[in-house]
Amino acid sequence: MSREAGLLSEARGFLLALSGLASVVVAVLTIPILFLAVEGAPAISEALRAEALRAVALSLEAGALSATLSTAFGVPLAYILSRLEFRGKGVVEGILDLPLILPHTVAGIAVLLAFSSRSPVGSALTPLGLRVEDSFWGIVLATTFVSAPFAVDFSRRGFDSVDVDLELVARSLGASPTRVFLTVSLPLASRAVATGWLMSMARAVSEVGAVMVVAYHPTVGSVLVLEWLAVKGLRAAAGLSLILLAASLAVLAGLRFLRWFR
Amino acid sequence: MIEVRGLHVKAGGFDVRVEELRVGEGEYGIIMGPSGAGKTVLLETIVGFWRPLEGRIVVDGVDVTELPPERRGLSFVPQDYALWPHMTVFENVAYGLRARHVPEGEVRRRVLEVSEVMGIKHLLKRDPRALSGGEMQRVALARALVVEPKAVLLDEPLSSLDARTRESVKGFLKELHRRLRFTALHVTHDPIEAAELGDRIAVMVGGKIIQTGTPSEVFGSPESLEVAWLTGRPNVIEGTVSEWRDGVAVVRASPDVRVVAVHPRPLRPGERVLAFVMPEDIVVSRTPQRGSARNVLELHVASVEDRGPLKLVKARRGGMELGALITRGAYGELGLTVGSRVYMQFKASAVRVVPLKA
Repeated sequence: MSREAGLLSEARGFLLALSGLASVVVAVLTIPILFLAVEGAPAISEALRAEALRAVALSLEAGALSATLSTAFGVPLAYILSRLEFRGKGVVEGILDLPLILPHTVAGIAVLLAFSSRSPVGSALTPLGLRVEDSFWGIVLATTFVSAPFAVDFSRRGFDSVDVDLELVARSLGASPTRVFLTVSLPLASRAVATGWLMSMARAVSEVGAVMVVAYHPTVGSVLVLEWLAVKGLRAAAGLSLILLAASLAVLAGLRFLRWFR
Repeated sequence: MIEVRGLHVKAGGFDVRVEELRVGEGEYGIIMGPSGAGKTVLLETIVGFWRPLEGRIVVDGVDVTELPPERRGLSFVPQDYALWPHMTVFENVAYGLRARHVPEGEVRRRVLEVSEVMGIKHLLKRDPRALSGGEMQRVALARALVVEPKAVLLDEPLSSLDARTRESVKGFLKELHRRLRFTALHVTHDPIEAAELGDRIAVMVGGKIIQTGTPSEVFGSPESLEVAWLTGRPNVIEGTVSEWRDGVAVVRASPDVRVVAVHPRPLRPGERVLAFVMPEDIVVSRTPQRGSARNVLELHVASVEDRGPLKLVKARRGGMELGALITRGAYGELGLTVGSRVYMQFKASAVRVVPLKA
């Protein structure tokens, strides 16, 4: 038992009050999931139809791609934010926080305005096959917009935890900054970067609002749940939700594995 | 060889100005000073981690002031050694060679060679996190030396070790330098460490170097009160070894003053040494006392200073001065005045002997 746990276990009254309040949160988080499992289980066979499986697969595919893009471009930004002080750093940090606080439909509208084929940027991308309206790339772009901050934030925490002396010694021994980044900083921050990728993926898979605005079709799992809720009713939507829950639990298991694999 | 001229650097809240600092080829240089003196900033500026506002840094005749750290040829050993935890000991030691694109066969040969010298061959497959403090030190030194740098720069490399390991690592470092004669610049706040390892010492206070010289010059003739205070906390007695037997040395400081010291490592008769004894290890009395102390010196009180709840009694005999800390009660009982005859007694085990480098 830890020292803190030992001290708390002696304060029985206080501990009881804490436990009572804490159990409310646990209950609020657990009970809906239990109901989902119970109510959704009978409808799972209906949910395992080609249309639904295609939608879930699309969610995972787009989520994995947007998490990978967020990580690939987010890791350099995370390293810069971790290691450098520069004018405008606060602005960049604010921009990264924006998708977290913005209503997701608003995020979708912003992405659509900036990258639709009628916008200057979108009209340049369309000839390259990167049209965003109602396309796979639209889903990827919308989910990248909302999930990239997770990849950057977790990676930055990873780089923050790497002692600068570990890099300085490598430089003094003849390694270039690129070599130091690739052989010292990145490997030491890799667990945090992987956690960022998983969180980013989870966020992308769960996104509804931005995706609905930018690319309702092809339909991803989270959007199909809403569609089934409107068209087929609560029970059918619960069945499909169970499949998405399983996908989320897989991400959670991945996070646990990363924590365990120290 | 390292030369620093007219350096001015502002970094990490420090303002460091160094008119001149020089560490000769194969010399072991020490930068000694209290915490907050700017020693680490100076060292890190020489390695290339900070850009100076003014001044030049010259290594082996080449001006490296504008060069990045990887092109200066200086190996850095930080306080906590900074071994890479995701690499084995072998990979740690090999890193600098691989960064310089040395062929893999040559990397292997040189890593094994340096590991042999450092006594870490049996550790090469180990995870550096599983090493003891002393082992980490050796691996960090092996990693620094294997690339055959123009100089090794060490930042307080002994400060995170426990007392016993520190002694053994210090002995190892000294022996290693004697054998390989690499150029070193070592930062420390410990005067005994400085005296024991350094060929030359630069004393740094408030971002400036205020005295440089051999250990004998710095400890024997401090040029300012700051240096005296920094080096003078222990009593320093310079002398010649007249005898060493069974771990006990006799040091003759003057024709009529000899000091007995416990010193496990052999010393040659005639060897010049510094003997250190802390003021709190000295017992002061008006008459010679019976007891286990093997050093009993007759002196005359030169001054008495307040040191909080204690008194610092300074007494002289010829050119030698010793300071002893006593309680205010003892001071009252002894009835000391300037000129009083006193006996200062201390055990042989309280004396540290540091050989002076030739």
